[in-house]
Amino acid sequence: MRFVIIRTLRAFLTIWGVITLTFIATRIAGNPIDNFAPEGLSNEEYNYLMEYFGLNESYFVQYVSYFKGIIEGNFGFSYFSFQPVTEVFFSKLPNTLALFGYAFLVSLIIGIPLGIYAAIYRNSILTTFIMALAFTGYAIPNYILAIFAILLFSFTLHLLPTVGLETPYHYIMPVGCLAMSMLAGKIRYSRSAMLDVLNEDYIRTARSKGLSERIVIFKHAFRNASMPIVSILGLQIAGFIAAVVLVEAVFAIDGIGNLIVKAAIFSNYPILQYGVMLWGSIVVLATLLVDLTYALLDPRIRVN
Amino acid sequence: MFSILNNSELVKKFKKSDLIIKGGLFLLFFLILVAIFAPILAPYDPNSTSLLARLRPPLGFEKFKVGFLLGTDELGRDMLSRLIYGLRFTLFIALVGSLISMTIGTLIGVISGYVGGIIDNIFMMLVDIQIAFPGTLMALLLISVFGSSITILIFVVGISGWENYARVVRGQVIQIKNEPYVSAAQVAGAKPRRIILLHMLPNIASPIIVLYTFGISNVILLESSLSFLGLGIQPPTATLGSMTGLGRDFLSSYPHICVLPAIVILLIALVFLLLGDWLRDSLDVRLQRK
Repeated sequence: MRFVIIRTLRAFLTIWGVITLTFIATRIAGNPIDNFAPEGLSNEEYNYLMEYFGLNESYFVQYVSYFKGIIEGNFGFSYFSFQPVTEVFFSKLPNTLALFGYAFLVSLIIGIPLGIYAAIYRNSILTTFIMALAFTGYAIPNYILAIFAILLFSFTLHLLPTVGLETPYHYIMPVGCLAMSMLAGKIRYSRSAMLDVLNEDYIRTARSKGLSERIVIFKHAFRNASMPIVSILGLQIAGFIAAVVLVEAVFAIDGIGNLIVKAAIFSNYPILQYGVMLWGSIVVLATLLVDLTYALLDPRIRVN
Repeated sequence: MFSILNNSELVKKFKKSDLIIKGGLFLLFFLILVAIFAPILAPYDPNSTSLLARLRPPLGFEKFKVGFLLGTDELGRDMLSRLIYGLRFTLFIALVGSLISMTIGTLIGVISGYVGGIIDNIFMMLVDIQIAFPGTLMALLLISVFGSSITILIFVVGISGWENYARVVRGQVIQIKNEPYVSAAQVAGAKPRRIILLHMLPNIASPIIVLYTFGISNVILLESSLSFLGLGIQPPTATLGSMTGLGRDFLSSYPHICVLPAIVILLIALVFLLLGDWLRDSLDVRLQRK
């Protein structure tokens, strides 16, 4: 119980740290209004904007009210559309979630069986191909993959559309590019998790009992290997924002990634702050969940 | 610390290594030489435009015209020269940026592991925060706040990734803290600084070098993706990422403008990955996983 409390406290402290750092980062460079307001704004309009976004208060007051807002569920307003940032985010979320969901599923369905195969048949020719695929997915940045894909499937073969997400065909390339970069991790981790387990004594015991290879692999080995694989899946989400930003940029998809990039270009800080906070919280909570699950299943961790 | 670089065993292992590794290392060596001697090698000024020679395809794709080995871009700038200078820029930012993150990360890791206690807790808290704060998002935030310039870009890529060094170095330091040779130095009255620099760092240099090599590859990808999004160094300066990003508009009719820099990014990130993989295996380093 003590472990759970300390670990949870630490997670919340981390989220607080992320929020505070973001706040500091967006305030040291001076007044954001100067960055985005059009030239020739009258004094009156300028003061109105300052007051509207609460920028004429001292930094400390701004920080306190920002924090209070977060607790109350009010995350500020977009500097351009004057909408609440949550509203802006949720309008873009479906596209990004669909993209991520499909890519995650595809990489899961393909990646884990390939990883297991590569662990069992370590010297087969197919394994060499699988590991080459994993290395390619890991080494090729997905925006470059996307460019090659567009060149091949759209401009040379004229098979697939290039921008947007209107029809199911529109999903093929962006999902494929995202899945490719996630695939690499899944193959590598499920392979190494299986390899670790296959060397255990209980596998040798199971084999010496005369159990069929199929039962040894799926009942004894895979069940034990699935724990580390699941934990990696949780942590893989952390790296996914970078991939999504780039894939959405290449295929001009109206999602969270494009929203954040535009916010960065036009200094729309409330959007950026919310994006960073949301992402940080997801990562921290995913890690927390993984740690707590581990502690639940493995008493040794609780003691340390 | 650098005794590891003229390690004769490493040379022996290189001679025995795969053809892919050998090819990769030679390619790396070649690319670095090209970057260093860019002013001599580039046939044209990378930023001089020529309206008469716009959008020329690479040599061999067009009959009866000579002059541009890899063609020209939409402003008539020589692609080959821009690629060479872009490579130089990208490599420079990657090497310096990873050096920064290595220095910060190693320093924090050593202090954290050696001193322990409350300082260790605070530093590890910072590492947690950094992990929750993906490099791309942090880079977007900082560039949005400070504007984009080379200094900012190096700084931004420099502080992303330090947490990897900090974690690994801390783990290593804790592991060797109680080794007899460290205790002996302590008993002999050596100061912590001396122990860390002379006794500890040389023994944990291998993982740091391996991380640095992987770090370079990561930084190249981060820098090129930022430039690709239009948030890196601003035009007309050529970087591989911005060439790819701007060339995207011409992908349907003049693919060479976009594809050539993309291939160079791919190659250079790949050779650093290969080098890292090979170093990890040859130096027998086991990096702890997240």
